Amino acid sequence: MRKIRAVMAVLGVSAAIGGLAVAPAIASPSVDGASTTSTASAEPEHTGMVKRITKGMTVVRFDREVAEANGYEIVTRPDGTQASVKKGELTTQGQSTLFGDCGSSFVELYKGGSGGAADFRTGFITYQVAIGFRWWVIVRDNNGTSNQNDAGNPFSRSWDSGWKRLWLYPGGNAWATVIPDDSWALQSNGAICVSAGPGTVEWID
Amino acid sequence: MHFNDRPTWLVSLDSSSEIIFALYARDALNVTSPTAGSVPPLEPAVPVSDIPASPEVEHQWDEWWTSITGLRLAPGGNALIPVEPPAALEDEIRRLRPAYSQWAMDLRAAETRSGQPHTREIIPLREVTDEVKRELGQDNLDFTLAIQEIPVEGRYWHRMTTDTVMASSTLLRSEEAFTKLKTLIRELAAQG
Repeated sequence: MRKIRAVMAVLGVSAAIGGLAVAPAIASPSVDGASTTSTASAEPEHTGMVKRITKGMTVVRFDREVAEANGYEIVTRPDGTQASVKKGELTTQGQSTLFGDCGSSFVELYKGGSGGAADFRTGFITYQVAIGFRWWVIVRDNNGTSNQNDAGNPFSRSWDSGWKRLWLYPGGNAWATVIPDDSWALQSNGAICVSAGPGTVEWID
Repeated sequence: MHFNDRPTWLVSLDSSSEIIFALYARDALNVTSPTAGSVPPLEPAVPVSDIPASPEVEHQWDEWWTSITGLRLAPGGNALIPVEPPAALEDEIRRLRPAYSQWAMDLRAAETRSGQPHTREIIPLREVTDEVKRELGQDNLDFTLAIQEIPVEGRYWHRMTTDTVMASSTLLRSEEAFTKLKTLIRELAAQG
């Protein structure tokens, strides 16, 4: 499990965050209804009998070590069966919120129709009253990057930017990411609560 | 949000358009394989084809769904380009995308009109972590958890991997969320 690593940097409120490492769970040993063992090291049965196999080849078990060595991993489908899938990453689209021990921060980016229209919103919720904040978001599309920055003194447990209509490069993906090093809320007790840096991607028409 | 002077827990609450679009395609194409049927229908309901999907379409959809839900979750700041659906479904997918975009925009508009708070404002993570801290006798918890929120009927909860769950908006906004989250977080925190 990777963990949040905190480092001091600009203004003394910088934080670097590790990713969310997701390990596959082999919750059920069955594959397509076949009865198997769940451990990759299980030995096949030897009955001493010769049996002619007349049906097509069928996957009855996945060897997790072999799969991982070749860039695959074993996952459990919602119905309990297993499958081997190429390792990759699931993209967060539309909205992302990250929660931690002093609150949550979020970013939302949705297509807003055609012609590059997009709807954007970001903000935070803290468990203590925030007396000041600074917020940096980078928006990136095929035309380059721009910033959606804000700062203020909310004297509240939450703040959000409100919905903003952005005009982005149409016919491609656009990303919006809260910058964890530079997005934070100052609490009344002097503690600084730092965003963990949520980010999202959306296809823009 | 976290304090930067100590290790801490981290929970993500995301809505992946890839997952929701795959469910939209499932409903619209009338895919009824066991894998497809293990997740409730989208809410609001999608116009469904009168013709059941062919075995080939069902197989392709199953593979697509498995590839999406088996993927690791990308760290927020490193969102990648979305996974492409299988080429064999290309024509169907192209046909469904505009209708899906409209369905998704209508859903968001309805949520805005309702005036109800977002799930992130309701989900009882603070209460759960406080209680787990008390039960474990710890001042701080150290774990990660990823929650994929999907707009499907009823109270749906599926643990995809050790620290990833897929859950319906209805469940995450219900009192049942506390118990589900507490059981899971207690386990993850004890391992941490």
